[in-house]
Amino acid sequence: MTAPAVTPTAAQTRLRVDGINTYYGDSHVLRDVSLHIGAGETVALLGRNGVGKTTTLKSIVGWLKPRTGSVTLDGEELVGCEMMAIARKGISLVPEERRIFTNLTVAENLKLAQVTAQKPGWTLDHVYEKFPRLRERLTHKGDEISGGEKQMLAIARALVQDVKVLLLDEPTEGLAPLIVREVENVIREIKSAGITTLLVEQNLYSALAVADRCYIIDQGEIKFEGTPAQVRTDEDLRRRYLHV
Amino acid sequence: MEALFQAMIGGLVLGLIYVAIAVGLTIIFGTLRLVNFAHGAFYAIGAYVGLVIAQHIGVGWAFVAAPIAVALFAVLLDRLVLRLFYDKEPTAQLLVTFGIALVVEETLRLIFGATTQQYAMPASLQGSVTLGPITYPAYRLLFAGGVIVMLALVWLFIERTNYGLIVRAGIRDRIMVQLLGGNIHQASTIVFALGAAIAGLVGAAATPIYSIDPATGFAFLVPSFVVVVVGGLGSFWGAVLGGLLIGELQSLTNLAYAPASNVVIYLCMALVLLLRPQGLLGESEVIRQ
Repeated sequence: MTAPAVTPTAAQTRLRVDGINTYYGDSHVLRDVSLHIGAGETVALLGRNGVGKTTTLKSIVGWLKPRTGSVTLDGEELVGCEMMAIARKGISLVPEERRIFTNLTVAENLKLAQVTAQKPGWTLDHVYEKFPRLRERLTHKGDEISGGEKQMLAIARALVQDVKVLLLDEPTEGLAPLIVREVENVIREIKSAGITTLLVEQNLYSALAVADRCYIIDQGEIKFEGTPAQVRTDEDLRRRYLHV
Repeated sequence: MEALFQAMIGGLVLGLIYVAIAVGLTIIFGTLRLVNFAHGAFYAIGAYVGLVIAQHIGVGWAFVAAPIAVALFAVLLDRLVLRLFYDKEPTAQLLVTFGIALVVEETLRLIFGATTQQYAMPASLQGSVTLGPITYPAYRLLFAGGVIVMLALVWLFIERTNYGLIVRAGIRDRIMVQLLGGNIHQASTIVFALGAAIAGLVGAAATPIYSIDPATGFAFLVPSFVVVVVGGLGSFWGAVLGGLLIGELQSLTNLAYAPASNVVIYLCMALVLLLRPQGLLGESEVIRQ
């Protein structure tokens, strides 16, 4: 099932997850999960609901602590580091629920990300150029903007920081088809900007359209590593692990 | 009519003390999710530090030493004890902070005795000011003005500084602040120290008005909790509105029928909880952990 042809070399590897085992209490959720992302790559982590995709992202950013295994960024170990420290090293998670600060305005949400950044990333002008709707909503509170705008803001909040690896958790979930296309365009922009991205998606075709490589996770284990083309053509694989 | 004005200004002064304590309580709860029953102890420690410094060095230094001493005490308390209870149930927090308050009260009783004490206000502030039909002690008006300025500075800190931005974000979602690289622990320590310093300063400054004894902390803490509930947990302006409302209500009831003055604030709280459970300016939205 494994397709090694597009694997980045060790020197190019930006993020490496190596045999992590993560638990919720006594429940063993991730079992020896390993994956790697090369600098500038866009990698999709695919799988059905509740198979461990979000847990993988949470384990990378320090939200959950893997009991065993290793997570490295440019060779530097992250397991055991605080969430804040991992964020400051350049790993930015855009969570599934967006987690916009609803008591702050759009401008304040962006300013907070700038204030807490170790190094600056995109300028606000650049952000507004790529997300023009945010400019129109600057004075609106986080709970006064649409779902699509919240997603744009959550991504923009990550990009105003000097992000080395962007983790996008279900960025198109719950959005109208028109807005999904906007978000897909934003992900393409991020890809063309050379930002290393790990994309978690249930929307298979949305993910395959932008990913360089894919992993499929099922019941907490990585079952497949390969190219989007392989996933597209292997009906048995899709039916078995993705139910499509 | 003169008595009514007197009672209203008295209610304003009392209400501002409640506001100052409640603002500390509410920003600490908002940022740390800590139900802090030891907050009244900060007021009492500030009052006693102020008393000692005022008697031996001077009143001016009392206003400097009290907030610093109380802030340092609060940071130590936070680092050594309270931090262990941040993620615990509110009941555990309530019990540990209640225990700390009792320890502080008994320690103050051991050191200073159980008798009521008060230091004299500076001679230059012992005069009175005529306000229309009434004459009112100048120090009380100065105290009220000072508390208003202090609250304005706290508001500016929360609303206009980068630290304040982290604090406000942390009130809603501590996890996301950390995912963005924000140092929520440092912000929490600053908020805890700030809330304690405010209570300590007000304790020192109010001692010439309200005499103190070791139980003073609880005497001010309980109405301040009422203020927080009435105004809305976690809301700065809720604490301001609730404090002024409760202060005036207590003072005016005292004028009309003194025995009811302590009961009326709890009736007010019950009414607010029935009609608007999140408090007058509180939000009903679920706050993320």
